Amino acid sequence: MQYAVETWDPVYGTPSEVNELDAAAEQVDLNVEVEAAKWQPVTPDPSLAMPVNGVFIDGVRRFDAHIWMGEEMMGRRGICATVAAGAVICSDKEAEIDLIHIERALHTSADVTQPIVLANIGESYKIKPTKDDSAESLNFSVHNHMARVEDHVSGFYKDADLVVYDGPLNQRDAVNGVGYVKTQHVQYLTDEPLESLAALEVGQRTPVFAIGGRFERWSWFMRLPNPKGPARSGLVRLELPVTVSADVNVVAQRADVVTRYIPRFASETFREARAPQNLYPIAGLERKMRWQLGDRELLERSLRMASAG
Amino acid sequence: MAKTSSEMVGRVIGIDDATPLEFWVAVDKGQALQLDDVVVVDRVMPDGEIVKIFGMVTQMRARHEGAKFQSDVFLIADGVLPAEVSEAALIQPTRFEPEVLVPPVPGSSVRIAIDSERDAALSFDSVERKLPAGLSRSHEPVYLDLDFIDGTKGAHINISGISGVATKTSFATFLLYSMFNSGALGAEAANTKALIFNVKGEDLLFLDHDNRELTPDQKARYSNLKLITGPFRDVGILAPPRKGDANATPATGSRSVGVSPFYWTIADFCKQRLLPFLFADAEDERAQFTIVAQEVTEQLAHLPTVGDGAVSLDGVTIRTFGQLIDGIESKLMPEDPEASPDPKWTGRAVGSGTIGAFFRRLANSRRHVEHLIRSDIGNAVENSLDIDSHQVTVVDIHNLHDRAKRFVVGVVLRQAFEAKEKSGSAKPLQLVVLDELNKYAPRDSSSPIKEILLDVAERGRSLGIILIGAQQTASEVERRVVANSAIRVVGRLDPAEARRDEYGFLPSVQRQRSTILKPGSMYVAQPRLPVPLLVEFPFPSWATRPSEASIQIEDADDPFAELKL
Repeated sequence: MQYAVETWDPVYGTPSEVNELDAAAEQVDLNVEVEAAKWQPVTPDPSLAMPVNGVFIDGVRRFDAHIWMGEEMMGRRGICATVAAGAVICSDKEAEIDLIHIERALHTSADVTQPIVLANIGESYKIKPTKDDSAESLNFSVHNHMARVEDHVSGFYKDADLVVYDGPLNQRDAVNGVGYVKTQHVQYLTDEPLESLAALEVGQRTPVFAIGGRFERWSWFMRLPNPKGPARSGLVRLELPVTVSADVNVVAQRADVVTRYIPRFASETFREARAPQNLYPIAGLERKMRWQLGDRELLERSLRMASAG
Repeated sequence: MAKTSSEMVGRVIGIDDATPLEFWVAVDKGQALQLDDVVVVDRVMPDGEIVKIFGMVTQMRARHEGAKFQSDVFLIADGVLPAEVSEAALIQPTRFEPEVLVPPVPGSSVRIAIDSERDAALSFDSVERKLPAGLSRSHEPVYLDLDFIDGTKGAHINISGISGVATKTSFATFLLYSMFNSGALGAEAANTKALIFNVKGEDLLFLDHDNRELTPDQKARYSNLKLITGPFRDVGILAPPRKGDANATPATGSRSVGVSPFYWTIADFCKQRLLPFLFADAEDERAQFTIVAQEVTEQLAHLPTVGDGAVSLDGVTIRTFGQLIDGIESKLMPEDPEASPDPKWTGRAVGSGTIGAFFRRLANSRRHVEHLIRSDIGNAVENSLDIDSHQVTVVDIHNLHDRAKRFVVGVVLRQAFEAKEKSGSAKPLQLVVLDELNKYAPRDSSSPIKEILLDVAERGRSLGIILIGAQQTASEVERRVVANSAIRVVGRLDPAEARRDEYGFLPSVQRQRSTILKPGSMYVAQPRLPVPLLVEFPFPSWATRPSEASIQIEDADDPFAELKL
């Protein structure tokens, strides 16, 4: 296969993050647990039993090299990327990285099928065909690859009490799943609900609301402890799949459990740049996964060697 | 340790340099290594040849991987932050087989060396005559190469360590026991002789008794070493006579049976020129009066003997040390103020001050040694010091004044050395165990005793006289005495002492560990191995105090004890 490795470092000029949500397509129903006009912070029932084993699942991706298929500037663009997904099992005694799965792929719209084999280090990039040559398509393909690997990993935890995904649930609908959304791109609340959000104390949650659209789910906000951070910080949004129950009381109880479970894992500012939202198990997992992606320079060098034949 | 040789315990780490001199091994999950474990790694050379790298664990470390801050440990312990415990062992290679000095390849699997691989790792496989020296911490035998003790390739053993905790004498005695009982010496064992100076306590006076308190566990340790348990056979115990006792009964506290007194007759003292051994202090050597001492020694040697150990001076018969001093005084400092000292005795052009100094010194020593130098007892001649008729002879000097100790050690060593010189044959060996070498061969001065010890250290190898010397601090002992010892042993060391160059044979980790060694554990460095071995020697199977002796010890003060049935 003829290809050339872009001489620019692939971390430059990477297109912006993929927009995970199309807000316009979503309808929000705030009158699910409580009427929107009567929203007040909810203090979860402290007598609820906590999950014995919680699983945290996350994925990471990294561009190893931008390449030109065929002759430089003449052929099609491609991205060599490595993605990983892993799981941490947390009991009350131990947080243990249980599984890390890593895949490498060349994302390109060029007409190729044979993987790139890096004989010197025993690695290879399989081919992920993309829709077209645009940066958005390539980027989306990498993101999608990571999501597939995350799905693969989460398949091993169907029997866990609670599975926390770092990010929105999207298409995931396992009953034990929880989406954990750190950044708030979309404004779901208005009026009273918005005011009650500001009134949330640490450990409290908002009433549950429903999000419609492509992926239907239950959602609520909660406030994490952030002792050394700004006073009104630490808001996160959580999601439950609609498969949990159609009965809003069951959903509310599940929301209570999750709201009480999560704060234990909230990080502190001096340890984590994204504190308190970035949870410790996920921070530890990401750190290890980034290690295991392998040395990018070595991969890039090996790609050049392989392209030279 | 019931491990099969094929089981992997870890892999060579690639983020720390692996060198032929040391490398780190990450310990696999579910496996454990500990300090002093012996391991082996294979390395395949480009031509297909397999080089076995043998080594020993000299340091270990464990850490959390995945943690950034010290305080992360609390999060990890609380089950919030995922992290892994990673353990690693530092290996010091002991041997390359064949000797191709290459580092192990990172990632290579490391296994515990057992059986023949352990023997190879510690070079025991190439030792023909193995002397059991104790057990490793995993209860495997550790051997010394007898070739490096008996003079074939090297000789002498030197032991350092704090008294009380370092158990130097016990280890020296154990090595003797091992030599006599392991079969390493072959047929020669029967004729090999040992001379032990008991310098402290009465520990060595019960060598010929079983140790009642030897536990089955300890017995098992002996059988691990293929040694029988029991006392030393054929032991002679010599003790100085009681002061002021006309019968010269040996002065031992807790033991009276089977102890013979030792002393020298006045005739021995004069003929054998023993006087210089009374002037063996450090300050004596620097003094002018050694000239006088030489002249007096010479004159005494020419005095006529009158039978039964006495000598005659100017027609007066001299039987006691006191009389001898009086005789010497009459020659050096005549009572008549008009008479001048006899120049044959004083040496030429020696001032009266020097003569006085010599005499004061001599007179001072009287109370310390007069019970050791005498001819005032019947059969005095037969009682002269005999170090040849028993396999092991213990000379008890612990009760003597330092001056008398030096005298006895010096004279006895010379006797042994001269006997060996006369015999003209290195075999059978004469072993000498002497603690407190710093007293007898101090680094900074010379004395007649030091000369003899140096002779032993430097020529003993060819003469067949082997020194098992010990001291608290090797830094205070004459370098050549220590340097000539092929086997170096270290028990618990004082931390300041452990830093000195004399212990250069201990790598830094072992040096640190030497300051916390427990009694019964020693580091043994031998020429064949680049790494000193930690050895635990078994509890003595002979008694070291009356309560351990398996027979009733008679009342020490009963002079008729020997006559009882």
